[in-house]
Amino acid sequence: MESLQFRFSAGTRRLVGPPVLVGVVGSGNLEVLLESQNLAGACEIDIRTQSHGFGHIWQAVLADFHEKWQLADAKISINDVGATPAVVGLRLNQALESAMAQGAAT
Amino acid sequence: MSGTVASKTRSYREATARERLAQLLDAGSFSEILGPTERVTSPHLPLLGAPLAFDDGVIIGRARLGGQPVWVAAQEGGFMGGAVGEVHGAKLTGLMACAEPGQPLLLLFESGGVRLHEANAGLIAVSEIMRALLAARQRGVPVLVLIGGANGCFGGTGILACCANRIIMSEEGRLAMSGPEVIETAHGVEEYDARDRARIWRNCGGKQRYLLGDCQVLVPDQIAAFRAAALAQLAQLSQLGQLDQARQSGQIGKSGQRPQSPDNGAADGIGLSLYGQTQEQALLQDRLQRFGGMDDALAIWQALGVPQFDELPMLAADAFVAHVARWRVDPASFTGWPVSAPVPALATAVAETAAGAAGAGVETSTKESWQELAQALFPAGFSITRHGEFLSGTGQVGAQTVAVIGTCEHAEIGVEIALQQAQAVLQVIRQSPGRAILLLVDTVGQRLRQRDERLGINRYMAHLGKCLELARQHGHRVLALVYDQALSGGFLTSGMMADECYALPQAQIRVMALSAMARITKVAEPVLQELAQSNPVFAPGVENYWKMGGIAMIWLNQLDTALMQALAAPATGDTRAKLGHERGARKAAWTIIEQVRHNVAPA
Repeated sequence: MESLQFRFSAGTRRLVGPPVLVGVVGSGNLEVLLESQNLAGACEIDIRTQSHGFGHIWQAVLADFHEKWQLADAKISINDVGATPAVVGLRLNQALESAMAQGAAT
Repeated sequence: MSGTVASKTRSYREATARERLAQLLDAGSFSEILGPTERVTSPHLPLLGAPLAFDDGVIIGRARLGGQPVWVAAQEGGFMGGAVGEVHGAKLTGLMACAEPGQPLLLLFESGGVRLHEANAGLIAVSEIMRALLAARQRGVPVLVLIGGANGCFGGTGILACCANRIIMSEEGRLAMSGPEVIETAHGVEEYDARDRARIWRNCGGKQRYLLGDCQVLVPDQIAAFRAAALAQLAQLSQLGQLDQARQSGQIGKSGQRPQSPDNGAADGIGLSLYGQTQEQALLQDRLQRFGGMDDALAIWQALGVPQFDELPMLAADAFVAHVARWRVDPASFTGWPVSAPVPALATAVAETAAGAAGAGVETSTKESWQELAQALFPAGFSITRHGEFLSGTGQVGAQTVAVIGTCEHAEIGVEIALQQAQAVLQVIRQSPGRAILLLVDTVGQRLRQRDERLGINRYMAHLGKCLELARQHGHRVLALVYDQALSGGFLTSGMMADECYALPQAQIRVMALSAMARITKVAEPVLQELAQSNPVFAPGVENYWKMGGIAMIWLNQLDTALMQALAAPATGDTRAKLGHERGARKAAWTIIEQVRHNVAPA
């Protein structure tokens, strides 16, 4: 297993409402846990993945994600079993949409 | 997931466990206990470099169904096949303890059984769930199981399902013991072709289980259909609970006789009863006698008299249910034998009786290990009969007579020997009130044969486990002694159902050989071997089961004294998780069970 941490700052969108979990820890899939947390305005992403050596791909996918959603004070935790970048992007967006449907984002 | 496709036809099979709960329960009513943000994950998986899930593959909590408060659990088949590890199991055990009388437990099972990555801890965990589930039923908690996930309901979970009051299945769901891959690996493709999907579903799919009377309801693969069926079953179980209360307060019936009504004529009450287990014994024996010689489910369906039996696999669920209504074995109207009459004897192998009086040895030159054991345990005398690999009889401990039930010669536990043991337990309850039972365990586990799977070996084993629980509830002390081998399923419903399980130091206890474990977990065998040196979770052996609390004590010598002391001590309930915590090898389970048990979040 490989652990990766990313931190994006200067986001503007704060989440309200309960934490959200989407996806499943199964082959080619991942689970994404999205929680609102006081992180001095940052969005922190912790990843535990079974596929080693793909840090630069994660960096690219997450940068896109941050650019789109601009999350602030958000904690994202991921358990990954070799999901493709497309699946990762899908799950992240799914988590966000789910959070907004449940709690409305500001 | 985003809520736009919450239509009436939403597939149960394709949904995740969380999606199932969201659509099955009353909207917004679910309140999770130890949810993913608590990050109560497996302590064992990281050692194998395996991925973690924030909820360890099971979601538990309380909710409402049709306005009624319920306790629910849903296994996520996508994570390690829904298999039960230490944390996963402890969450379920804790949940069983939460439910108060009349508050139903709804269990969405999808699991391959014991999680091999946490082999020993997983096996003990399944046994703890089983005892907690049956204890909940005894308190008056109705238990309803739903099966319809892609991974089916196998192994220990297949046994657990058959401990519930009712089971709802879809055709897509499967309920059995050993998976086809395991059987094919053990006996070759001629025994069971794991790629022959049509045959696998004929053997253990929802339709076969419905025809044989193992599930009460068959529904289409839709979450909405499962919800409607669950509501209907809970309404029936609520009535059954009221009858139980009336019976307990002496208003109706007595001596195990249940009042007749359309839906509970031959069924258990909410808790176990001598009547219910006698009927189940009769039903399972009848099934064995009628269908035990058949080599395809099609032959069974033909023997049941179902018209156009070979077209059953093609029928949609509703049409199927209508078509087979007259022909299926209906557990609610199966009459079996009169309650007062003993169940007819099983055909058995030629009996050999060994008897030992005080000071006299067995008159054979080559004593078998169970005979030597019996002499060490019962120097004051015993009379034990061996039928094939099945042992039964009595032994003298001081002035006390103990019933002895067990197996020898590393018995494979097939449907026959499970029934023999269950029958012996029922006889003790009937004929010798209060007599202590000693289980002598020597088994290589469940028999890995397609025929046993087709007959529903998981239910035969569950029946044995329930009979032992019933004996306990009737005031019998139930002790077990592993004197040779104890493996997986065979051990779950015998030795592990005892009040306490003891072992001889040379005994072998394990879930599966390390080589087979390596193949299934995809972890190299040398890695497992190394872990087995330091980590009792992976290593076979009595010592490790003692450290994890699965074995109460290892009997080194003076077996008669040890047995006498064990019999003299009062039964204390299931203390294995606590022992595992104190002895240091299974630290998570006890803490989690207590955490869940004391959770009082409002619904």
